[in-house]
Amino acid sequence: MNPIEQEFTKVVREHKGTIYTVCYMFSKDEDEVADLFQEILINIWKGFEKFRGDSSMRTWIWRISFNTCVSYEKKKSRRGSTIPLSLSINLFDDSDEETRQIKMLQKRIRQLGPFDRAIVLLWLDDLSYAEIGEIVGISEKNVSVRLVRIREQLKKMNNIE
Amino acid sequence: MIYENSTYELEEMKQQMALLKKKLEQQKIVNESVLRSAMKKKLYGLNKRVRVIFIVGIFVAIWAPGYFTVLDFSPLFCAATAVMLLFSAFKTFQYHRKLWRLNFSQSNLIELSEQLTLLRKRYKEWYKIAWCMIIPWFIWIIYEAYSIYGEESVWFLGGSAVGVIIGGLIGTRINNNIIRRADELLEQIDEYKKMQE
Repeated sequence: MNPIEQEFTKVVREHKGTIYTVCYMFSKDEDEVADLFQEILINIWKGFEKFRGDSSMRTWIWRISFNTCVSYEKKKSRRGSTIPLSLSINLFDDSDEETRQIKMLQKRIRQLGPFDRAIVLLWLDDLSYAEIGEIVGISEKNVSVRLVRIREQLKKMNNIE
Repeated sequence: MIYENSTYELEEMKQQMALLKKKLEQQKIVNESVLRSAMKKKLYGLNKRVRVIFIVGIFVAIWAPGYFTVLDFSPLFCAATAVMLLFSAFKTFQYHRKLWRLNFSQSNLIELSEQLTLLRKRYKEWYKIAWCMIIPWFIWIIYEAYSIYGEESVWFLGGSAVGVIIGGLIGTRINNNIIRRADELLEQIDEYKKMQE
């Protein structure tokens, strides 16, 4: 492997949790998670050599992951056949308590719009308001306002349940 | 800020996110079938080429002695030429036989890497074997041609030398190509094994 490929592999390994989290929150089944993951890897690879370090690698990975997921639906019909990357754990079928908790998280997040989904995922990953704003393209103040609205929305969902 | 005023829902989501991250850390990225597909394509190309070489080798082993017989070369030389070419074709078949038999969808990667490593080693050894055959054979052809055609054999030998050089370059390139493909496949298997650790 050449140095760029080695560096890419290293980055993917370090950030796979982030990428999978986004895929999982934007998917409805295991196959879609695998498809999304593959798409994100392709997009990361395409931009990898051009990445100039204007933002942190973590921020950049988040941004690509979200952009890929949001535009995924539009590309789905035009996409050719791919060999999906398989998952060694299945968060859609497991029935242990931990997976049940994770499914609750997924259900709540999927009820939010894509933009709010991105914001709440970033917040849950302990990113600062500045970082969240940088990734989704809004100001810090707007991030704060958005999160308040998301909180209210989640409260309503909880009351309905 | 939002964190200080977090509701129960957001706190719960934070805990659930921690669980998700914990599970996802176990996630393996590489799909073995992706690796096998890529390997199958590479090896199909390699095996296809070798089958062609084998068939051409058999054809030349039959044609060349006939050609030299027409030129009045000794029967012993013609027989030795046929044996040398058949030996080369047989060796090609022998080197690849086990790889041809392996089912890439099911064979384990250790067996595949063992066969590829052996193939690589054999092809590296083949250089020495090939030159040990070609050099004496060419000396013999010079002797045969000079015995039959005398001074005029220089044209025939010039053409033969060009043929041997071109053939040697093509053979070297094919050899290197096979070694390079085996190296690439072995590297892919190694990378996959590292990711599994």
